[in-house]
Amino acid sequence: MANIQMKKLCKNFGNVKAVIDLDLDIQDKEMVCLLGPSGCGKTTSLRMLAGLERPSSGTILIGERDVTDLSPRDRDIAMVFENYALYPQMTVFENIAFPLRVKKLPKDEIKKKVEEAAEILEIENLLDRGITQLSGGQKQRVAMGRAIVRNPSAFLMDEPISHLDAKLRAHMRGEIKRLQKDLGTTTVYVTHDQLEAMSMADRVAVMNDGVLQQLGTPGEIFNDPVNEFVAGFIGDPPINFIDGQLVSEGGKMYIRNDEFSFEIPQQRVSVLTETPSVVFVRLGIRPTHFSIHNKQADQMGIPAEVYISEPLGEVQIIDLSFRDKIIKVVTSPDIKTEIGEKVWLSFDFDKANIFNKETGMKIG
Amino acid sequence: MDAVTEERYLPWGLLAPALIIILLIGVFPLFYNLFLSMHFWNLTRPELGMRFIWFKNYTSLFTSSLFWEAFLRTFVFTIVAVGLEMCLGFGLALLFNRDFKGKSIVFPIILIPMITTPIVVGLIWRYMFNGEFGFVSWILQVVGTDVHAVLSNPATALPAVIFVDVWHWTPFVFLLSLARLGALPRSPYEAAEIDGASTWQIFKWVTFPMMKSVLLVALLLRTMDAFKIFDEIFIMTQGGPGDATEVLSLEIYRQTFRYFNMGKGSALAIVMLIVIIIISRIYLKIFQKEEAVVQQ
Ligand SMILES: Nc1ncnc2c1ncn2[C@@H]1O[C@H](COP(=O)(O)OP(=O)(O)O)[C@@H](O)[C@H]1O
Ligand SMILES: [Mg+2]
Repeated sequence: MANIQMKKLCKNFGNVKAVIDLDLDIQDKEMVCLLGPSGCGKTTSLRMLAGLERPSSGTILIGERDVTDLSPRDRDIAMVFENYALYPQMTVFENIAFPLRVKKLPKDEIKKKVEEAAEILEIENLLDRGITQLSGGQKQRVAMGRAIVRNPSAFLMDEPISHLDAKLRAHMRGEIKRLQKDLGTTTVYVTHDQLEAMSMADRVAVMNDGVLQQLGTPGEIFNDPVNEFVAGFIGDPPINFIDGQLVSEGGKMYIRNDEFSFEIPQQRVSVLTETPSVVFVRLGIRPTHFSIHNKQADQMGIPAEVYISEPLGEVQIIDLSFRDKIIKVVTSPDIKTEIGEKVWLSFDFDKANIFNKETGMKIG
Repeated sequence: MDAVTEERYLPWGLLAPALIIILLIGVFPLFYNLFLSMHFWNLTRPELGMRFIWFKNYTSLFTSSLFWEAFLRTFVFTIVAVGLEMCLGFGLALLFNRDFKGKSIVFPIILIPMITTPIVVGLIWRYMFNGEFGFVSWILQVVGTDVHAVLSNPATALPAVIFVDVWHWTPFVFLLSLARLGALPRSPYEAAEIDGASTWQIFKWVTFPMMKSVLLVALLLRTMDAFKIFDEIFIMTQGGPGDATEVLSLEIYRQTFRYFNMGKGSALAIVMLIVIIIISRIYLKIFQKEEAVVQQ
């Protein structure tokens, strides 16, 4: 049980800056997901935590102890690798028992602990098998077993379920989260799958190009993204961006372009005037925050044309073309539309985010 | 010829040259050897001709103490030489599996013995061991022993030829091991380090199990080869002094080309073949057992 602190952590591979100034504070018993696209430095960060990669600069503390220069074996952490990294010549039992055998625990104690771990993971019947005979999901469980028998101060998991099929993945999300809560072990979980991160994490750390973008609860990350990248990376179907200009007129503020002009609600204006120089902005609106009308209700309408609709059973996604872009809207499946039909979109301004078009940062 | 017949005969036509060669140089001599081993046929006594004598050649072999001594000597030679080659070759490979200064220079030098033909190896070491101007003898004199003609001394001749075989073939085990070491997956090592294993535990539980199969292959190849060693010993000592280095294949040579006792020589060759087959069967069994654990 321990908290983890990374301070100004950097890693360069030659000219490649894989991780840049990573500051991350992880509480005891917390589960933090490192989320980001492939190649953004998630694995590198985790490997530095594990001691498999030496940071170019910065410090790492685990449970208030500076472990930056310690070897992996002295850090008291367990890791689940993306490729599982099981010992190929050993049986399932021997794989799970390995960390205990290393500590020279008595045989019967090892047996007891391995069997306990196997029971939690429901792999008691596999204990005598060789590794090459296991399916991906079984290997994944063995790798988890090897991590949990040790009762380490932290778990590090690098995309442990990304090689499983969709159904098993959905199942394992819940299993791993519950296991983490039961054991209460601080966990850093790496994934590129936003659904995984949102559903499992206490807090999500979104990374891009080696830089931490935002650290927050799934709710914060979803509703209050700090920039366009975070807004665009989280959510499926993804958030819609609509460009416009900030205009001040008669004490009121508007977002305007050739097709529409929206008055900005009074409570948002005060925030916006803190950055008065910004003129070009981008509205970020989630697909669920739109509603579709077949005639212009009031000033607040975006004219669009139905491109295609995708019924998904419980909901439907309607793709609408607006200018040369597609806006995706999630609606009830009861709404019937025709290809090419003209419609108007309105949206809930309270839930929309306004970004600076040049910097991509959220301004209101 | 229509297409179907052509398709039927074409493979045979293509294989024929190779098959004929294999029959001529592999299969025929084997059966001819078997045939000879059950005959009395001495080239110095042409008037006696070739007589079928069942297994008399074999029984006379098994009752001769000379045969059993040669047999035992061959075993000692094989076990000691191959044992040393395995340990040294694997050990060197472990050293070379990490980077150090001058590695690229030392590496090819280590491989030189392996690419030298046995005859040349024999010649080189015959001179090195020469009692008057040999380098080894000079060293032995400098360090103050009274042995100088190593190969003419019955006590040192066998260790000397073992030494030469180790010199010759350690690089083979080294190369095979090094290639495998370089191809081992990194991830079990990382996992083991995180699991807290010490360097020795990692060697014992991670490296060695993954190396077992290649070490078994090297062991099998080296055992079969050492068991039938001929050239180097023939050049260096001709089996002498006395019969201090007389191994089975030299005994075959002696029976066949000194005493011209074709039947007895052939019988010896068959016995040797059978022993080699038995050894390889044992290794294969061990090998399969290893695989079975992995596959289970
Ligand atoms: N051992 C390495 N040598 C050189 N470049 C590396 C190495 N490991 C990772 N990188 C680079 O660092 C960046 C981050 O990689 P990684 O941490 O594996 O990303 P992620 O896990 O988020 O997909 C990538 O550009 C990758 O090419
Ligand atoms: Mg990765």
